Parts: sequence; C-alpha cells; structure tokens
Amino acid sequence: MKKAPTVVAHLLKQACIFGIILLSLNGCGPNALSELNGTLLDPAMDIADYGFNSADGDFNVSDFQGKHLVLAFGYTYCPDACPTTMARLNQTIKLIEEDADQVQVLLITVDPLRDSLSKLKTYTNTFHTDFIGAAVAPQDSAALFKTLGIYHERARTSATDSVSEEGLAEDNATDDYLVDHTTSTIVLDPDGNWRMVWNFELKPEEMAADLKKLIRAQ
Amino acid sequence: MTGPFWNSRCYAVLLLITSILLGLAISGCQSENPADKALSVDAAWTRPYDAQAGISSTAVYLTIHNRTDEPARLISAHIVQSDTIEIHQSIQDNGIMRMKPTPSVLIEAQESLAFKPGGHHMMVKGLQRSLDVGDRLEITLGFANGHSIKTTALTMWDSE
Repeated sequence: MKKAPTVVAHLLKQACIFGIILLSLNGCGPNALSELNGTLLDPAMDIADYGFNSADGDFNVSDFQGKHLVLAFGYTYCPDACPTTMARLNQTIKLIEEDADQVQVLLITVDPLRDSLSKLKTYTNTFHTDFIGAAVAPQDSAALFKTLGIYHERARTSATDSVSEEGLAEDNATDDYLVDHTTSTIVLDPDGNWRMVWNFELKPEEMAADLKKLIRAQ
Repeated sequence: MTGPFWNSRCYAVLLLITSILLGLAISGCQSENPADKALSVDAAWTRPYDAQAGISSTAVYLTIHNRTDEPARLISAHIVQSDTIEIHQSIQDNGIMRMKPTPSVLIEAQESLAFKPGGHHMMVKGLQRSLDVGDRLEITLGFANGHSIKTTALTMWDSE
C-alpha cells in the first residue's frame, strides 16, 4: 500500500524535472529572441514591396520571400565605412555556415549618379559572389530611404577644415565627392518585414549570432 | 704583515664593486636604443583592390608611434602608383558616417595613433595597380618636422 504513492511521487518528480528542462530550453535555446546584438523590431514592421535595379535584372523585396534580406547602404567610391561593412558581412555569412542559403545580402547604393549597375556588381563580387549590388528603383527611392531612416547627402572632399559654398560648388562640378550616409544595416524577415537594425560597430560574430537566432525563430 | 694595497682583500672587493657598477652603467646606456625615442609606423594594411574594376578608391590603415618628447604632425602621404592620398577621418554622428578630409593629424608626445576602419584612414585615389591578398604597397608619410617615414602596407581582408 505504501508503494503506490512512492511511484506517483517519483513520476511527479520526473515530470517536474522534465518540465523544468523544457522550460529552460525554451527560454535559453536558440529559438529565444533574447540577448540580441542588434535592435529588434517586435513585431516586425510591415514595409512596401520596394523595387530595385541590378546588373542582373530588376527585382522586388518579395522576390526573396523565404530568406532574410540584409540591406547594407553605401557606395563604391567610399574607401572606409562601406568596404568595412561589406567585409564584415562577408565574414558574417561565412560564420553562419549552413544557414547562409537562408540569407541574401544586398548593397543599396546611396550614390546612384556615379554607381552604375555593372560597377555595383563588380564591387559586391569583390566581397562575396552571392552579394547583390543594386540601386533602388527611382519611383521607390525616396520612400525606401525615408521609411528605413537612411540619410544620405553629398559631402565635400577637399582637405580643408572650413567648408565654403564656393568649395562645395567646385566639388559638385566634379566626380570627386564623398557621401555622408547612415551606416546602419537593416534585416528584413522572410516575409519582407523590417525585423532588425545593426549599428556600424557590430562585429561579424555578433551579427552571425543574431542571424542564427532569427532563422531558428522562424 | 700587510702587503701592497692592490694585493689586499679590500682592493679585490673594491674592484668587484667597481666592475659591477661599470657593467650596470654600460647596460643602462645600451637600453637607450635610439628607436625607443623615435617616430615609427607599423601594422600598415590595405584591402584587395582591382584597378580594372572602375572603382577608384581604397584605404590604407596603420599605426603611428610617437616615442619622442615632442608632438608630431602628419601632413602628407604618398604612394607612387596613385593619383592622390588624403588623410581622412570618419566620424559617427548619430548613426551617420561623415568622412572628413583633414589637412594634418597630431600625434602627441609618447602616444600612438591607430588609423583603423571607421576612424582615421588614408584615402587612396586612382591607384593604378591591383592588389591581391599578400601583395605589398609602399607608402611614405611626411611629418611637419621634416621627417618622412617609409612603410609597407600588407594587402589583407579585415582581420576581425
């Protein structure tokens, strides 16, 4: 008579331990969108199905349905911040290994006047042959940059401390100018919604960890 | 019976002490390596670059060590195969990267300044040779005190 309660108690104890393990796995496992390095938009923000032009043809965000779309912003004449971002993204993709086919990296030019589509393709291929270099379709350009909060403006290049109107006019007349721009990288989820923002300082390991969590959470 | 002083134990001890002091003084002088008190450059690197791709800019990063007792001002940089090199500084301003050309950069006495991605860098315009990983690019830096330093940038991808 004494054995039954003991067995029940034992089973209850096992169930409790199992439950605790399950709860801890749920809370700390790769599915949990916690301790992310980027800024998560929760819920993801619905954005328009923007169009792009690339050397390999025109496309829309929706053409990448089922993949996380990583949007970097830059221009090919940029010597420092843009290649730094692209090199870090290349390393990020290497770090996520087998998940790489669930991610598409896209460099969007902030300098469409000088960045021809073929130049963009050559530039992105330097970093990774799967990266796509593109310009936002002209009819979508203003809306995309405004919605995603991407600032870009032509700056001057001459090595002087003061910026005169005369100097700016001189720079604008040539092809030798720089572009001030937002260096955040944006991640869209597989439904084309805005899911995350990475700031410039993030390391490849941190972005890769975020991507793995986002992919597992789908 | 006391012999000559130079035969005494006292003289031997004195000689030993003198030798030790002289040895210490000499080794002290030897540690004053001129390189320890100079201006030097190391860790120079640049990214792979395709001169035929129509992309006409790249960057060189390096570290300048000023081990002198005077501030040093970098005023120029030169690469034989390029049109121009400008000293630049990228500045983050509320998430916006503003790249600013700067005519010179001051390295305080006994300090080092690292040129690195997202900060100070040399913008190289119109480089006429391609660079693959492992290639070397010679760069000459000019300082306001009249000194110039030649260094070699190694071509590599960002080491993060």
